[in-house]
Amino acid sequence: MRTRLFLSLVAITSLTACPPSNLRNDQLEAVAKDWSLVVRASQVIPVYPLSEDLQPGDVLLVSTPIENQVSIYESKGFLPLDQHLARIYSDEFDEFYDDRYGISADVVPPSHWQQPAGDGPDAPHGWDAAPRASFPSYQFSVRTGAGLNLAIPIQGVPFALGLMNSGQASGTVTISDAYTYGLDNVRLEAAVRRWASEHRPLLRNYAPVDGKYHYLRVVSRVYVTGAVSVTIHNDEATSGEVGAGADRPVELLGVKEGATEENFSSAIATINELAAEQLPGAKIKIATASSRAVTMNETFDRPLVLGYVGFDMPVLAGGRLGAPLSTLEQLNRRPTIARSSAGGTYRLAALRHVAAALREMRDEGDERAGDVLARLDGLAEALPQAYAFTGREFDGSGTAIPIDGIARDGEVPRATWGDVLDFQGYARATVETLERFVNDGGTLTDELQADLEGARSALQRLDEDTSKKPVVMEAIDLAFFGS
Amino acid sequence: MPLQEKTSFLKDPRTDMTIQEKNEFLSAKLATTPNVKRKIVRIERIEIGATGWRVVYRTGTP
Repeated sequence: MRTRLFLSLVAITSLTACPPSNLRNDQLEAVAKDWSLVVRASQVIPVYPLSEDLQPGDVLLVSTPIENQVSIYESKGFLPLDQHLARIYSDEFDEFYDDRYGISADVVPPSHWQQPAGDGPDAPHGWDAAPRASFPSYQFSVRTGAGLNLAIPIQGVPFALGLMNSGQASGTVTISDAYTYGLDNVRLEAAVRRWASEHRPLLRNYAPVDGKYHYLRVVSRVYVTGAVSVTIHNDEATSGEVGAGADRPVELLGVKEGATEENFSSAIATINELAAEQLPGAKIKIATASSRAVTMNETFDRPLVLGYVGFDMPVLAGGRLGAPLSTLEQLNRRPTIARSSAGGTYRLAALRHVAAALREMRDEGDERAGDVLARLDGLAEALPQAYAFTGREFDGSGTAIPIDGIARDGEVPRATWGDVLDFQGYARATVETLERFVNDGGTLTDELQADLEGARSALQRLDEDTSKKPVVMEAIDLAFFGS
Repeated sequence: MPLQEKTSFLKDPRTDMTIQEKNEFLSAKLATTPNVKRKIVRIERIEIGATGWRVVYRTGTP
């Protein structure tokens, strides 16, 4: 009896034994990539290894150019979370969830789900109260020669292969007990910008260099899983046993002739005991086992984050942040529509007409129009003292030439709202001209590159400092609606 | 400063613009700097090679 048990363990152990180191490295990379592909299929950016310690509001610094990230993402399947810059605890989850899922004003998830009754290792978690998510099932196949550490981070799979005495198997993995939670981009972006304004000296170190940007990657939603179910089919059995009408049971001791139900329960109990010995620490439960198939469930002490979605914000000159872009869309090479800058040509033209309308109203005696215009003029203080770029436009032959009177370091008029619109117009013309020049195949000299970056930064800064002010909306409402 | 005639070129931002979009684009450009501050004497539509609007304006005094 002891001999048979020993042989069983030897067989299983030999199947789960480590291959040579170089092969093992390949296998481990394959594990990471294949698992990540499973998660990516659900339009979620994978986290590998699975971690409990990632949540909405986490800010990662991305120093790799986006094109290089795409190639890393495609070759490895996931992106490392190596530069965790900050964790922003938003106090607006209760508003977003309207006090549902146990979230209140003094609770920042997931703390009340992770450790509702103390922080001991055996303390029960409260994730049942969290918003649910569901993932489809995924098919996989595995061969002993190609790596027994199957492409999912589940410890019991090699064990199952050992039970079936199989070197070739296929199966299905189901991510169960899945939950999700997050925060909307409007609240998160505002929180990140507040944080960024307090840490400008830090972010200033990550200003663009040679036209390449650092990004802040902001996690806005995470997906967690509490358990994974795996069913593994023995492909060697199905291909090799012609006309096999019934499954051959897994060979175990103590099997009694004729007592089918008792034998099955006893066998499963024995296998689970064996699993506990072979895989200490793993919470694996074998549900069914035969020579053809093994079904097992693996639960985690507490649910772990398996993926996230978020957005990227480029770090501009001076440590300011640009407009957010979808991380997933960038990594999937799907071009995103650039968010309209408040300084867009059409908006600028409209604002100039608004200012003209308000002046007419003021001259006709509308005191409120005069008041709004005065406050708009006050925004001119946000203008820089000097131009950080030389204005550029195309001449009649299509050559990029300087705009008369708009030279780097030249003085910027800073008296009226009209000066703000003029400045934005010059900066926008410069950006459009030089970007078009590059798109048409031109190469920027260092001077033109500096003009492009200077104009971009100036536009971004002015957009933040003026266009989002309530008085601008007030002016538009007054000019168009009279109220 | 002597009177001088200069030109600037407003390239179409897209190749598939409708006539209305081309006109709207020109209107917006004429309402913003640098064109809004110029004495424009003529505007030509260019459809050969790079497509867009050629704006002819004058600087200086006679």
